[in-house]
Amino acid sequence: MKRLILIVIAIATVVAAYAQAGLQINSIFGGKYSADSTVTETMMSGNQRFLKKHYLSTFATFKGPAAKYASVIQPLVLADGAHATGRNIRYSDGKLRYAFFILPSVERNGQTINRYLYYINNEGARKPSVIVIYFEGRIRPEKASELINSMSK
Amino acid sequence: MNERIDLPTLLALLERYYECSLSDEDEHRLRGIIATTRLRHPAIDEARAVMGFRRARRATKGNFAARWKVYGAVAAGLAMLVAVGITVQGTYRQGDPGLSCIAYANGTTITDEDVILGIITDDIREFNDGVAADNESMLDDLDDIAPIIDLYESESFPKL
Repeated sequence: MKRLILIVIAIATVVAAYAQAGLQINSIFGGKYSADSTVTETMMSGNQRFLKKHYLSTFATFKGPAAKYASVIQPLVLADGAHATGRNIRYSDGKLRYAFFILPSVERNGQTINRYLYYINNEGARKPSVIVIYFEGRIRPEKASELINSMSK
Repeated sequence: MNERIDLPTLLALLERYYECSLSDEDEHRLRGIIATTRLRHPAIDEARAVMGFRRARRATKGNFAARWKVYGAVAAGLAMLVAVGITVQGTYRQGDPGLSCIAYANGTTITDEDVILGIITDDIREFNDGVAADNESMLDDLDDIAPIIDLYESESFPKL
């Protein structure tokens, strides 16, 4: 019986550690704010042709009014970015204006998955908004920035 | 045997037991009561010791508590597993192959891949435009600072 307890505790510890590899920013996805008509959220994962073409496994975006969502999302982005292996960030007037993070990669099904998190607080825009872009996959960092640049043309 | 008996009656029986005035049948009944009663009194504890019940009762109590400790630990471990499992499910929902392609816009749900790709493209374009605008603003700030730096580095600036 003691052995069973130790096994259960050991399994729980390992699974807990595995769960911690998740990101804070996950909490804004999954339709949590879908009832808000001012929010736009997209989520792609699996075998979509767009993902396969760019060696991605997941691509997600979130956009919402800056006045309402900046205070919610900025702490999440900074929390995840605290462990980034590469970053380019800019603050203005005490607020995070934009951030590009290369997050620590994870191993999944024997593959190294690279993860990228982009954030902007577009207060200067005609419709001020915060935008989060998250994507992961085997795509390399230099290809990641090329992809984002190419998609806006 | 678990006879319902009040404390005064039990104490009276114990007194007769010590006086050896109980019949064999009554003594047997008393032993059964002492072994199972939930009543608390020093005389009852003493009677248990005299009758040889104390050690057995302690062992039973110990086993009972130990068993519940084990059950509690296993239950806590399993509860932790379930809670973490739920967390992992939520955490990796976006990596779940079963969740393929979905968007929420204007309060509606969209599953058309081309439409979703269009929304993603718009978001990225707006993102890049915002970064470009911000960088321009930063360059403007630097342009304001540049003459001051030039002056500081010039020969005419008084040296300390």
